[in-house]
Amino acid sequence: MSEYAREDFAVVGKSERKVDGRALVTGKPAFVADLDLPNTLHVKILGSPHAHARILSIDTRDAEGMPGVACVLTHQNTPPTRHTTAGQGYPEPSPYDTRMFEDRVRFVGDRVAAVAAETEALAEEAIAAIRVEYEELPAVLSIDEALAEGAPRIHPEEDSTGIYDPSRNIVADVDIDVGDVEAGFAASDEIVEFTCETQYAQHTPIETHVVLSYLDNDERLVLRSSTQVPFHVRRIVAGTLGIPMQRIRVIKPRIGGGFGTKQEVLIEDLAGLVTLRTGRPALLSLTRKEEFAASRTRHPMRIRVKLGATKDGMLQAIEMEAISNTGGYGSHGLTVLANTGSKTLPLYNKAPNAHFYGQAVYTNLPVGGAYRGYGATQGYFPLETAMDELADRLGMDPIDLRSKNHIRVGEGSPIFEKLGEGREGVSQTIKSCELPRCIEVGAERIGWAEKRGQKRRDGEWVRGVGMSIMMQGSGIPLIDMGAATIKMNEDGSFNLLIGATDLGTGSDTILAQIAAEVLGVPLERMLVTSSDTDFTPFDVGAYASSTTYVSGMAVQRAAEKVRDQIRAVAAPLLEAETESLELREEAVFAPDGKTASLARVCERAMYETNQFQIAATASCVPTESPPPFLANFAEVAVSTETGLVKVLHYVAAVDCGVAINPQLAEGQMEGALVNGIGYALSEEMLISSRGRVRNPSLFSYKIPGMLDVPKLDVILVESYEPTGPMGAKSVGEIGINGPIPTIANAIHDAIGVRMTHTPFTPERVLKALMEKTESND
Amino acid sequence: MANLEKYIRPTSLEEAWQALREAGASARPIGGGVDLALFVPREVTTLVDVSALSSECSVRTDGGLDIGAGVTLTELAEYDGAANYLGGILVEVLRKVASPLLRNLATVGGTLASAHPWSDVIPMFIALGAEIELYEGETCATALEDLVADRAAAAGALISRVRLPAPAGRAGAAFEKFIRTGFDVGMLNCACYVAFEDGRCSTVRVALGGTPDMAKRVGDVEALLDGQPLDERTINEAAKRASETVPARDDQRASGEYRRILAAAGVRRCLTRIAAENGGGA
Amino acid sequence: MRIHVTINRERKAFDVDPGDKLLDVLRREGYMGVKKGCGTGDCGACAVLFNGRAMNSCLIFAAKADGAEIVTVEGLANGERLHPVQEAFLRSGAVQCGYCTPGMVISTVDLLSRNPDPTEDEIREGLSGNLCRCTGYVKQLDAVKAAARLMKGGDADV
Repeated sequence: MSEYAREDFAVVGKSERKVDGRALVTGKPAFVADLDLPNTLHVKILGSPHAHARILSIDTRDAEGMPGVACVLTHQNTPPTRHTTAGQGYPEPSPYDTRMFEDRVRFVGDRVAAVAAETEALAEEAIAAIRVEYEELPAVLSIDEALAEGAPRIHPEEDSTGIYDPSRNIVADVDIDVGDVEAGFAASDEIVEFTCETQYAQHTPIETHVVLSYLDNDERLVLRSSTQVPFHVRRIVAGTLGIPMQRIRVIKPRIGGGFGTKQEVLIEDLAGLVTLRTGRPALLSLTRKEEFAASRTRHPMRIRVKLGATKDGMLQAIEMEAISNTGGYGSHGLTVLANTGSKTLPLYNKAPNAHFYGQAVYTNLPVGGAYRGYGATQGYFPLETAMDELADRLGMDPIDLRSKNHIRVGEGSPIFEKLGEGREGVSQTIKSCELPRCIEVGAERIGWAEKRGQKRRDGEWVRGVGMSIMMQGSGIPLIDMGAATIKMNEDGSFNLLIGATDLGTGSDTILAQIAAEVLGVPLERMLVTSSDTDFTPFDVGAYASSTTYVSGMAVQRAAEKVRDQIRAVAAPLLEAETESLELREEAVFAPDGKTASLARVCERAMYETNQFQIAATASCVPTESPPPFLANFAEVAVSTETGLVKVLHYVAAVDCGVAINPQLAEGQMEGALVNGIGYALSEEMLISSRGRVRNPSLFSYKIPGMLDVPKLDVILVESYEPTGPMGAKSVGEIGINGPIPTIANAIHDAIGVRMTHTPFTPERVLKALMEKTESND
Repeated sequence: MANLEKYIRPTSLEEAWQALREAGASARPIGGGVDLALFVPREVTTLVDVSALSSECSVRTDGGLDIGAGVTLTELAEYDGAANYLGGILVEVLRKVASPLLRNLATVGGTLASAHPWSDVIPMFIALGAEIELYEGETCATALEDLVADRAAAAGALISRVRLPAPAGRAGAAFEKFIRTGFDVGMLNCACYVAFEDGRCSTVRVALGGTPDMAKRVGDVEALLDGQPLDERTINEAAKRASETVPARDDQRASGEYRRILAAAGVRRCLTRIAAENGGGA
Repeated sequence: MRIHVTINRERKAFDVDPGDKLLDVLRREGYMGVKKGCGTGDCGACAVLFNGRAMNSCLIFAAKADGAEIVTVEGLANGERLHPVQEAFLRSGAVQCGYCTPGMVISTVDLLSRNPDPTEDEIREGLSGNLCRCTGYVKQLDAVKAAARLMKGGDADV
């Protein structure tokens, strides 16, 4: 339990500058590809032109013979080990259905071969010289086609494991019940059912996937990778290449965003094998086109939600049925599906009956992976739309309906233990929840009472306001682990070694803030090294909103151990009891006012008496996953002439416990919200009738730019999470779930249509409006 | 894979023209290079950089505007002659083109030569009645709409200058672009120019582009307005006619059906603005 | 072919092929602050000042740079002192992963050199070609406003 009180914070709770900020703003060579090693080979991938095919033959002789080509890889000369590319804890809850290369391809862009050459241009020429004979197979291009009777088997191989039913292309099947939903619906006065579909979307980190591999002087394989999961990379690459894990070192330097697409072991095996075979450094960087078509995407889903409530607004039953398209491989298929229910249904714990049913299905389409929100983003669309519709039918304000039914402090939900990340979850009781206050401040800020239902017209524009509420989690209980090591230097500075992965989120900074707070020093005295599998202790990596809550607690514990060691050294110096000593202002204080600087204390331990290195390691495996809570409000203007939706004002009131660094917490929210707005209004990967991505470029896949950001208010409504470091919960993901349902509900307030397909492009909105107008006539 | 062997920077139009003529199909002129940087045809081994040539703008004595092919889109937008031309329509349109980063590099000549069907500049110039000067050892002129309709006819010629006519006594221009995000090419764009005489439309040019095809004038709409006042009735008729006659079709940005709706909206908005700014032409 | 350029006020000469792009040449010559995000002019991460104007270096043929003056993000700070735009970005929390940052900073420098007192709309337009996926642009807008104040000799935090 946390003993740290907000009033006493010296470093935590301050918007300290990022520890890596200066390096980034001056363009220091801090990213993967900024390290220029002599003799580096450039690796290029040949991707399949077909959505589904067998490779009958590959002739690489011409390619191999070309000048400057160092090595050509295909299924003929690489390890056949089945593995998952999903960066998850071992044993991974994703099927082992992937080989480095195979004589079968399962989506357009799937790996066929790879070339390493002196220059990128030479590698590309060699790629063009590889002759492949394909036998095209019937391609499965939708969920319905995948599940149809007699559908082609996308994974017919014997040696894949962890697939729920490969004969029917079903990767995962989840079915959990609480109570009896049918009885619940029977007892309801009002029933609402809503079905929606969400689109293929891509993370578009501005830096694509990139890895530089090389052998160090001891001939260990070093993978300098733009990854969210360095430790999983080490383990999975060792297994895939069949080399001892201790021969691999993974380093994550600064990376250019991830958002989940880099929670994947996508290219490290390839570069690593090139280096092992040639002895030379190898650089593999995905092109933007490959990033779209051949890395990872959001799982498109079709979801049906059915709600039943009595006329006083109390939910009697919630049913959610989700079908997820996981593409050619099953990475994150089960867990994203499970999250669609596990992060949504517990929110309305007042419903005594609930049923979640879902399947994740293979198709010959781009592969779904981890993407911020991780299923909850898809799930909140139909849930919050249905709640809105229910409020309408009951004649209740949407806020009131939410308020009556959402979870509160001291409460739990049977869903917590029935549905976790791919297996059972963990029972928990909410210990911090400021959702009511979030709703209150958000409603006030947007002007809910004045604007709701007004349908204010201004020429072609009609205005509306909508809202939604949501929760996420903070890490995966009993599964995730983070650890930290702190060692002291004799000048009173500390090295903080953390496995935790900073993808630009600022985790290096906030974790250092936590340590600095415990040790009583300013942030600058913490020297952070992160994400190096040789030097930093284990951490699962940056996903599941785990860093602040899980890695943060590991840091807090390590710092407390170090603090205790410092006290023990200082006690004889200050002639006081160890427990009475306080650390602050870079010194140790005794109750009688005597002090010794931290430098003095460390000097004593380093050189004088009973010498030892003041240092400690601590771990954290959380036993619960306290949710952050979010209330979203949006005012939109919809053009009745073109269907264009403009977000005029978006308010997000979020409870993430104590914000370790308010500026960074806001930054996380703002980034997630704007990504969510893009997801709601403009982002869509279009797939051709042959399974090819038609718009694999930032020119035609439209993400929000500066011109698209509405007036955006993020309001941090702090609570205090007793199980969290310094009272904190995590905040990395929740924001992205907000815009779709909130904007959908606002559109309904404005023009009376319920949008069912994302994104809500002008054409879709206008079509929906015209259909409604016709059916009203 | 680009097979470039030579990059030359001639110091005169004549020198550029000679270099292109000698190398034939294996040479291309390059302005800013925004499009060539993305793709150089296999047969092209020589780039002839003409961006420093014809890089001036001037206002003619008759009030018309001459724009050198080497002028960048940003330079044109910053030219005060452009700000004063027909209520600043050039500046208004240029602000919607691509991004400042791209406008700083892209030249007017290059933009016309690339002739992207989603171009905003082209329908605007068509509506303004632009004449294009080509250099083929000597200068000759052609209407822009003819140039973009038949690219082959001008192959090998160097675009050297855009000439915009002197604006009529009472005239207005307007532009609409329908986008998904702010930094985008249009699902459709619309450029209109109307000159008035005795309160009625005397010259009307309406160009719709990004349909998704190259910008074209909509003759039916223009004929409808010719000699008519520009008021709510005629504007609505024009908008309706535009949606009926625009050669719109589906592509990944929008469907043909939706583009017909946008065509009507674009024409209506443009003409309404022109009418309002010109007192209905009266 | 040999090109002569001035980069961050230093005279340099490089050997380039006619097909080389300025982005790749700059990175090859050690200017790692210039980032590649797409290679097609869509993201702005590679923006540099080219004869005083911000442009996507991935679209500039290196041969075109002969005789040009180029400024990259590495050329903005004055020894220990950050350029006001850099300082403002740090202070406003506008740097998350930092990959789009050099391009954003360059575009901001260009904008403010021409328009020292931009409206919010002008800032959005000025930076419309620089994509960011981390920040949602909110703090970057703040940063540009703060930079404008700093450059006019005022306080960043007004």
